[in-house]
Amino acid sequence: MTEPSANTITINPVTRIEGHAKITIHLDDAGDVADARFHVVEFRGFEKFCEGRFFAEMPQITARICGICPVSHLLASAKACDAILGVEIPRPAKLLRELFHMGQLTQSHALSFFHLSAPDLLLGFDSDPASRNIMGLIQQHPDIAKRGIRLRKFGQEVIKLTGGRKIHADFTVPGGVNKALTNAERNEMLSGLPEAKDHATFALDLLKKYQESHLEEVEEFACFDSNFLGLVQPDGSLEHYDGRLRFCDTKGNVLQDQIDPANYLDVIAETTEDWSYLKFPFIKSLGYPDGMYRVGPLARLNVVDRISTPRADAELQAWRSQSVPPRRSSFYYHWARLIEIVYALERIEELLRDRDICSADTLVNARPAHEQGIGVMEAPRGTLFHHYWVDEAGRVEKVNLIVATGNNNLAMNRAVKSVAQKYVKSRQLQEGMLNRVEAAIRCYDPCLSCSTHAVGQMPIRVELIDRDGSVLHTLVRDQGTM
Amino acid sequence: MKTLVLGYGNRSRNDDGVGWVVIERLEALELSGVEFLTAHQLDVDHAEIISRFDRVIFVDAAIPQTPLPMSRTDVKANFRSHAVAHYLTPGDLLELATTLFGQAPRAILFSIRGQDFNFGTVLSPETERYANEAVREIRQLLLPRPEPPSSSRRSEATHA
Repeated sequence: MTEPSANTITINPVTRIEGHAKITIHLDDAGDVADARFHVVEFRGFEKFCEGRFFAEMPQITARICGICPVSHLLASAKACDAILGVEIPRPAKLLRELFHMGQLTQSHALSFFHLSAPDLLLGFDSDPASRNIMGLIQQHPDIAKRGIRLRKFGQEVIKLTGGRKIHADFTVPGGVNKALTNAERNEMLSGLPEAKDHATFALDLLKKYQESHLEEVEEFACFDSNFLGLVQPDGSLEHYDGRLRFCDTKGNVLQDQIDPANYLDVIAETTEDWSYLKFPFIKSLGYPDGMYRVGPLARLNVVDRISTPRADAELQAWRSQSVPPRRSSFYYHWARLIEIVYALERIEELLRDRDICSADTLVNARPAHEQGIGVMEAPRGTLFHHYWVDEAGRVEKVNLIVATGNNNLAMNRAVKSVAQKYVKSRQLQEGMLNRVEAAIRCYDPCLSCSTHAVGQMPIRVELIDRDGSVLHTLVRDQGTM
Repeated sequence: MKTLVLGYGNRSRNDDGVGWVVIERLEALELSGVEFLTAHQLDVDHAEIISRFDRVIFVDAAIPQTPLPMSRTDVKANFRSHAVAHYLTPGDLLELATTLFGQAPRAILFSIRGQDFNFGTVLSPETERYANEAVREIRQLLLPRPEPPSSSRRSEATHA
């Protein structure tokens, strides 16, 4: 941690998020918070790296963007490749891809809630940051920590049994999948479901109890107006693998509905800022920055009419009955995440009991038929776009990726600003304020993991900056090895 | 002695993938009595995996500012606050393994300095050279030798 200099707050590693980033909090002349920025300080360049590769390699290449949600990239990429081939994949392949994705949703959400956010809730925002982590949680609430590990493990097992490997499985390929599910694998997954459902129920009960005792904080935490984006089925129900785009405004009014994801460039535009390498997507018709929108679990549950599985739908309707939707507090990302785990587990059971799930009809062969392919899906952290342009031989000429964390870029800035305005009361950073800024970012569970993970790298930092641009105070939580 | 060699890093970021390269070269030697694993990054799942071994050898890249081109260090259980991210360190894993599963292996970390972390799958010349050096040293460690008494081995694991 460095000494303060004069009028800006910079938080430099925000612990427990992926990659390399920085937060700056800007003060006005009166010393009040005027703005906050979440900077991504590493250039990605991944799209350029993919140019010249054969399109069929793209699922494997893009899956290596991330070690946490490679399944999402595999699937979005495979869907873009299907579009280049111009094929409809066999029904069993579609079922298996969705099963694969539900495993991913379970493990990723379990990691986010139990390991990253539960320490904030159960140990308290004002507790010592040195112990406000998974180890602190294990020491004080070992049963909760173990439940989180067990639930995540179940999701990982679904991925492994379906795709053959937990990380970077070469399972999804253009035209379908390259591995059928065996009866033994199906039964193994089914046998693990009751325990997984019990953990999900436990987590939801935990959150409900937290809300009862922290109602004001829950309702007001990083709360701000925004639009919301998510995929929905034709009947308006929750969808993660397929579906069409729906945008709602901050009051829940549907702005645009049933937009074909292949036409995403008609409704979404991107701009850049000189202080971040991450681009800033926005709703084209509303302009920048008014067209700011949120994606991810909260956005999905804010835009849908219902959920297709009974238990998750009951939880959704109960959650909505507490107040008029949509929910604007960032805290509700946690709640939405848990409802989505309930959905994922119910959906896994539905998929495993489908008569086609063990069919060997999983792949269709074809040659490239189109010059472009677009694959869109709901990754755990939000809507994910893969768009490839190819030449006649199938070589990639251009790539456009909009990842969930990119979609939430403007929203994360607003979340930090909201918390800073409430808790920054001086030209010095206090731990309690810093903890809440970090917790606001963690609601969005940003994933910047295209950055390397070499020994000795620093993930993030926070700076407090005055109107003249002078750095008043810098906080660096950790500079340890990675 | 049950040994795991675990190489990790981003295979698509040139020298950051050196852990994977070392594992590939060790696997080609067809050594007996050892298991190999690669990972994009270390996470909570690995705590349970390593708890099943007597010894774990981690292989990772190091940033260019690292003084030595290759270093070999004994890893101590040492959970750091930052590390409850999507990634963990070898020290985090040892402490998690001990706390959650009651035992942790002896652990060594081979850190190989990288120069080029841009997108790609090719090692820079120096990293390539020290990847081979790491393979040679790890192979020496893996050669069969008389096992120490079980009581002292458990003691070392506890403090690893």
